[in-house]
Amino acid sequence: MRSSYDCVIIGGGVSGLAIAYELAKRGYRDVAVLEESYLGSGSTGRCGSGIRAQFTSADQIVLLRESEAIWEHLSEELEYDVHFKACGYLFLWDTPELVDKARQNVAFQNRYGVMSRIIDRQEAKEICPSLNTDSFLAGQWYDKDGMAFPFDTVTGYARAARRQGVDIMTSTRVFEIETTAAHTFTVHTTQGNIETKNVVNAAGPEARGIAAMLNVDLPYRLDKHQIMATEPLEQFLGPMLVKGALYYLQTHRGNVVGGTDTGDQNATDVDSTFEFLTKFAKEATEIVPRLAGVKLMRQWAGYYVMSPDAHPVLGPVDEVPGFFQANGYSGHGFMMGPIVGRLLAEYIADGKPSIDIDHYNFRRFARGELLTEKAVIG
Amino acid sequence: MNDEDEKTIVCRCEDIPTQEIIDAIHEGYTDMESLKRYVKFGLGPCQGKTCILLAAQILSRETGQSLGQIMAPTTRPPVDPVPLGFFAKGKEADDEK
Repeated sequence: MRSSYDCVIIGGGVSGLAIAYELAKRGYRDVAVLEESYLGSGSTGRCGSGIRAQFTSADQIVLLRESEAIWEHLSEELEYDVHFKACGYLFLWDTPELVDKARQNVAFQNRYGVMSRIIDRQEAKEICPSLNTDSFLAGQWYDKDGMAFPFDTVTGYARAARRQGVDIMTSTRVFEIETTAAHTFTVHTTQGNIETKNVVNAAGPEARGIAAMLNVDLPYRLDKHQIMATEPLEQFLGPMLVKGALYYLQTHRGNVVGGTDTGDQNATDVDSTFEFLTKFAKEATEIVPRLAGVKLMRQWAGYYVMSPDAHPVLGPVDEVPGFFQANGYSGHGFMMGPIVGRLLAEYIADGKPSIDIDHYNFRRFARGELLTEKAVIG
Repeated sequence: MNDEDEKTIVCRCEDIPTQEIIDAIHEGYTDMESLKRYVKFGLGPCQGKTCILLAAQILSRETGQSLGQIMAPTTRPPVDPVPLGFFAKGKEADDEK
């Protein structure tokens, strides 16, 4: 670690590492990533690993459409297998009202080039032969949605960034940030101080605390979301399945991984509970009965960093020039990682991102210009 | 570990030999949390009950850290794998007894 950099990124998850890699790719190599624990130890390593563009707001549909375009070739780009697979997302709707609403969502998504569609139970069964067709009326399907392996994604980005000269420090905690008269920052870490022109806050659940060091109040709520993994099985499932708050997929290693909502808002711990297991098991076996015989291997939990409108905060903060946000993902940070990395790097290196992300700016909260998103799942 | 060689299996669930762990340590994965997640031992049905201590011994030997310094990763429930069907029945199944 040196004592000065052009850019210091706080947070060694998919966001921070993708921003670092994309900066270095643009020749902006005087970059340090600071991670308080090990890489991927926060929300990235705890996530459900799904990647989808089937959202309900135009902003997120466009963002995730572009993110999926990067995911598709990310392994080749990073020269490391992140195990992206376009397994598709299959939403199951079980009332006529929900099916009607899904038809409207599909039409809306199609307008932005996300060619999701409504399918009948027969076609859903062909896509996922294990489905109990009595458990839903119709499906909503998009074959370009998929999954990737979080720790391999972190490793891939970290290695590619390091190859280009980025310094990545683990076990390095930031405890104070000062602004200087020369419009730079002094970042105080457990490994010493760093002078820098730009600070990127990609600290996941710690983002609020980091912003507070510069008197920026990110209005986030932490919700606990629990998740589980089964023993590994031969590939049988096919797509990511979603029904209400329930979601699960089968990873390339064969484990079924997924969760459901237990309503733990304003959480202060990420402990696992038995109540989660019974709720998840009931919901999961209702749509795929054969899961009843599959053994649960481990459970864990993580935080959704919920912003007031379930959209992330991306870009600079008007009051503190040089202080960039990439946080508040509301449960969707992993899937957004590649596109956020590119857009934030463009912002920092060139002053202008290739997709307009102005409406994701922190100032929207003060102005009351909230965005809307109904599909907060996994 | 006198009879150990590079092919000795450390993690039986995931088929991971000694050498794979030694190589990862030399690549810079010198703490148990990141070593486990990079090599992916301890994630099979036994949940690390067989391999975590063996891997910790190798890490200790290769890096000079004491076993006390090498903190064991968080143990995740359940202790042994349990069929989802058991949880799906939940309390009702318990109450029938």
